[in-house]
Amino acid sequence: MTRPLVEVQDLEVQFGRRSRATLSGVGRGYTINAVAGVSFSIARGETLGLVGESGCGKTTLGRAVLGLARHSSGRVLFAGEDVSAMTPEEAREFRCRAQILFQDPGSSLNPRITVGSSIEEVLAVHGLAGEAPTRRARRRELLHLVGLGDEHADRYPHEVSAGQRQRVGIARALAVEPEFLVCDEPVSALDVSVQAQVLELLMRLQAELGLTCLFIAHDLAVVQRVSDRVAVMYAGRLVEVGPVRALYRNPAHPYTRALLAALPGSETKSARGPERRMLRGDAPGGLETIGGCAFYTRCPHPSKDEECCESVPQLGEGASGHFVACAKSG
Amino acid sequence: MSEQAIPLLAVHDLRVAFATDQGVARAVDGVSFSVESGEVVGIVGESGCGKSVTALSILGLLATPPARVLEQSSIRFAGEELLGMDRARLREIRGGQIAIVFQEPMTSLNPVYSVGAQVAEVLRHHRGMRQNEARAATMALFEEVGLYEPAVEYESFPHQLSGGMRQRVMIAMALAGEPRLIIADEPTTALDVTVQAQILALLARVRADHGTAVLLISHDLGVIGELCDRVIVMYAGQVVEVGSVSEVLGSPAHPYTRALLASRPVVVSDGDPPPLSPIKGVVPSATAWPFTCRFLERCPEADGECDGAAPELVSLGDHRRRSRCHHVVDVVEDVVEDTAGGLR
Repeated sequence: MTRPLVEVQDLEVQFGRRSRATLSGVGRGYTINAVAGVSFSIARGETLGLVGESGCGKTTLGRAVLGLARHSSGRVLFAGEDVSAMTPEEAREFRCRAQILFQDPGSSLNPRITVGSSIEEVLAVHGLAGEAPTRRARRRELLHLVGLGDEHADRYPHEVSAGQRQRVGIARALAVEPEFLVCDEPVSALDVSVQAQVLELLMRLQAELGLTCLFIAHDLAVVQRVSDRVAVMYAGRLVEVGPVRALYRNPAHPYTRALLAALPGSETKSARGPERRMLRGDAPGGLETIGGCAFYTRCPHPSKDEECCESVPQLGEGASGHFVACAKSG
Repeated sequence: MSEQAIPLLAVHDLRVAFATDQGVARAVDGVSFSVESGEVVGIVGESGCGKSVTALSILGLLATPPARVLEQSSIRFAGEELLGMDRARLREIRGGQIAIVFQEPMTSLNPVYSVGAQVAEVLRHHRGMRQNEARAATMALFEEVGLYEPAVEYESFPHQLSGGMRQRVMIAMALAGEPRLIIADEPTTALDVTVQAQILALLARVRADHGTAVLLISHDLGVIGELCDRVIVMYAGQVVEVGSVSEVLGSPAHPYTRALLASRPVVVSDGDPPPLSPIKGVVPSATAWPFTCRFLERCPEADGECDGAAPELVSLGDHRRRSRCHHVVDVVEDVVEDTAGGLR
């Protein structure tokens, strides 16, 4: 087997503050383990979907994979090279090979330059496509690639629709011809009709360009469409990882099952029946120290017991390629 | 449903225009619907279709200018006209008879008062309670909406609560006036899916326990299907389809409803999900609605028949089942055949 393009090993990312004197006394320090020991890999050309609720650490994980958030321990290897140990030149080259697509193109595009200039800016920064005429030709090519026309190049971000802005975001990310793309909730700010347009475009480009993707989303239906494999994250850890079909057919972790059961929709209502299990409360915020399973307090599993609180469950393989971190399942 | 009974809420030919730099935007353009006592009615549509403006105009919450509610519009609550009502009476109804739950409780709660004090204020204003009575009643409401440490939560400030808890506070505040109608404008859109399920269940329980009617505004057909009895589908400032949830979601009559359903990704438990079919293009601008069918340009089912004048919202047999499409006539004819002339 060839080596995966992206390998993440025991990654931890912490946010925090040291205790310090403030005007109102001593401010207490704190540490939040946003990502608490995550390992996975993504093969070339594969799309790994990453789902979880807000605050579970999925965005931080995506940023850490690209070296945009500093990790406190663990490693991220891209094509076998440690992302955090790169020289500035290597890092620049890495930026051409790995790109990110943000959720809200309204705030990630510069409002004061036209979308065409936004795309050209990427080319200029990376010293691609040389002189102005070639840059303009390349800009045109990129706009067409994402389904926009020449007439859009001279518009400002506020003059195009939200769906078109996200297309510009895609054009910018693809301008450097990356191999790897982190998509961080790329369609969650869009209307459902437009969301389908952008998803379709992303899936087509992914196939045509042979992109490797880490697709972060909270929407299980969206993730099912785009992913080859899916990882479910809860409170900074992966609780289940598996091939998309197997994971949706036989969700093994009680949290994954609860997420699927919570989906509204007449399509699933009858199948779910009256025994729909409702999670109580909210996901932990990361400030509390949790000894055992972080999901314990909300877990609806009938046989949960003290064993769950003793140690943090680790991902273990159930069926082939299907991993689950639960003392009672798998 | 009896014809003569006065509906709880009757919106008739509501037209709201906004003055913008591009001209007059007719955001809501002739919307009529009604909500009966104890009924849950959903309004669904994409952003910019006018659903929130409709909701806000019911309570007179639109800033005028730039908004202007045109003269022929009428909004009657239990027979009483809300448009142009004097401010003192409107204040009694608002928060008392009709309550509203907004999408983002963080911006609709006051950050410098404890959430308990804010709910107690409603009880004092609308139900004439004294301080200590209001406090006890607030805690009872908190418990009812699933805030299980009411004494702690009473003293909490909005930023100390999670999004789901804040939305529970908003619902407690809505219930405080013992309203007959709750308008919920995208109440779960900012929430995670597990918390969304909790809030939807809570709204369903409120309706069952108090018989409160709910007007639920959402862009999510799944959420609508979960909670509503009837659905109003809006597109480009107009109602394009009305019917019961099972009719509209099960056998949609308008191409827009069908397209909206088809563009929505759904989880399937086995095998590959069906391919998505996006709706091409975008909603036309509210400053220049087309004179033809407003969905024409995006409609996958349009043909030569559609080029003419804009279609009317016609009845599909039953007056509670309507659709605005030139092709709907065919459907009605089919129905006539099916039921052996039972319609006209």
